[in-house]
Amino acid sequence: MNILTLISIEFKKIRRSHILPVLLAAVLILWVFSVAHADTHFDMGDVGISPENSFLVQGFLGMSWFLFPASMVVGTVLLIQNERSGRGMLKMLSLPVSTPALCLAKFTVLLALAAIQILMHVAAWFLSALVAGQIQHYSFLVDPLFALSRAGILYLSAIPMTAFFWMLAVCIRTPVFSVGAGLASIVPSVLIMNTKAWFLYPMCYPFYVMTAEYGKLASRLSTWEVDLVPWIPVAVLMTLLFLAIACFFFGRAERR
Amino acid sequence: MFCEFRKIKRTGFFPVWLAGALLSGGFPLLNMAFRAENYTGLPGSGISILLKANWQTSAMMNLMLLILGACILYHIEFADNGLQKMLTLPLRESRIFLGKFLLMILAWLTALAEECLFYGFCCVRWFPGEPFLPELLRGFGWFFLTGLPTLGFMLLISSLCRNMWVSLGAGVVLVFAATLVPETSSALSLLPFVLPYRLPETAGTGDVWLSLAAVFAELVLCILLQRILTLFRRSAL
Repeated sequence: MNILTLISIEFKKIRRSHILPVLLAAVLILWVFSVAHADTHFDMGDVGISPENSFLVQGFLGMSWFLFPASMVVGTVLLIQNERSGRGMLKMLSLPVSTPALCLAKFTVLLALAAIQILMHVAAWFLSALVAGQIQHYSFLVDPLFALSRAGILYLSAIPMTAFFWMLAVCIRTPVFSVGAGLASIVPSVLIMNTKAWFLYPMCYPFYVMTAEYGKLASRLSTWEVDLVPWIPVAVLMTLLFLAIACFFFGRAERR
Repeated sequence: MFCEFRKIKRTGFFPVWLAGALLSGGFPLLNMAFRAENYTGLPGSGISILLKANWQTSAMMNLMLLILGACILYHIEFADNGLQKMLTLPLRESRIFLGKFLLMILAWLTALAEECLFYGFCCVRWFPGEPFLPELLRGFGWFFLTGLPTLGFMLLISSLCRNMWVSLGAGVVLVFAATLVPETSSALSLLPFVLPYRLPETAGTGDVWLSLAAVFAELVLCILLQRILTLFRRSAL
């Protein structure tokens, strides 16, 4: 079986999992609160950002700091528990398929879930900008291409983090520990972001990049420039390392 | 209750609680170790400064622990159709829920006691010579009580969802939604998942009693809902 078939099979497996409503609910709650407090974006004079940009970027900050990483942890639970319940893993191992390919197929599904959630996020931004505009009599819309490109940056910066969570879920067999480690690793990202070694901690990448975007949009707020040089090579190396470890340990306990 | 205790022995439930409380309690310690000069000069008692500076993060970690604990307690039942086997026993289903509830309360108490030690240590180390014990105990008593409705509702959610990721996802979404509720809105602050973020000082004395009444009402509601919903769920199993 080639990898494309495997990926399509993985998608079929999660068809009845109700994961999409969970991801959608997360996004909707974020934007409902944002619409309810849309008037706070008008007195942003001290940071020098226009209300429509503030509306967009605050939503993205909320998404990247906690909601998106936590959703990815939930996604890893879905993908790994699917196999562990009902001894699915043993059945998979009896097929003539290489286990690293299986592992990568599952990781691709996780990335696809991430992409779906981010697209939902952009769509919800568009709708809530329209609704908030109606309520406040002010147009909160900015160029959708601009929003999409920010979403793309957020997505790309989240790939190393997703690989890390996937490695946790594969390597730590007790679900409490893997989920606990994943959720606990999100919280200190705010602290690590402010240090010089931020590029060594994949969990803070999305929030770091989005804060930098905020700094670009707000004229009177100085955040930081994103230095690509140590970051991108380190991120690529770490992602490959995480995936290699995940592929190595995938199904290892069942094979003994 | 003892039966529940034995079931979770190998799930890593207690180690995770202890480790989580270590992180949550270690946060003020690290914060003070690196940036003590930002806080020691502030007005007010030592404990109130510490709580104001660090409780939001600690509360978030605590809520995650509650979610995780509730998820795992019912995950072990659903994983290999354990709940169906439990239903064949001469045991009422609400007893299972109450057993798990008591277990969670025990874990919650342990975690808070651990965090209390950390906060107490920070107080002794950075605010010496202040009588802190009564205020510390009052603060943590408040945190214990305000956490109870969240605990009950999270356990209820996970008892209704067969799949662990659904209950985990719901919990994560609720914790996130709670961070968005503004501090000024007093009615929304009484809801479970929001109340554990609040400090006793932010409300006046009247509001403390109002909050405790809300805690009690929410607990009663949770247990009633559980009774009703299990009736409906039994046919679906």
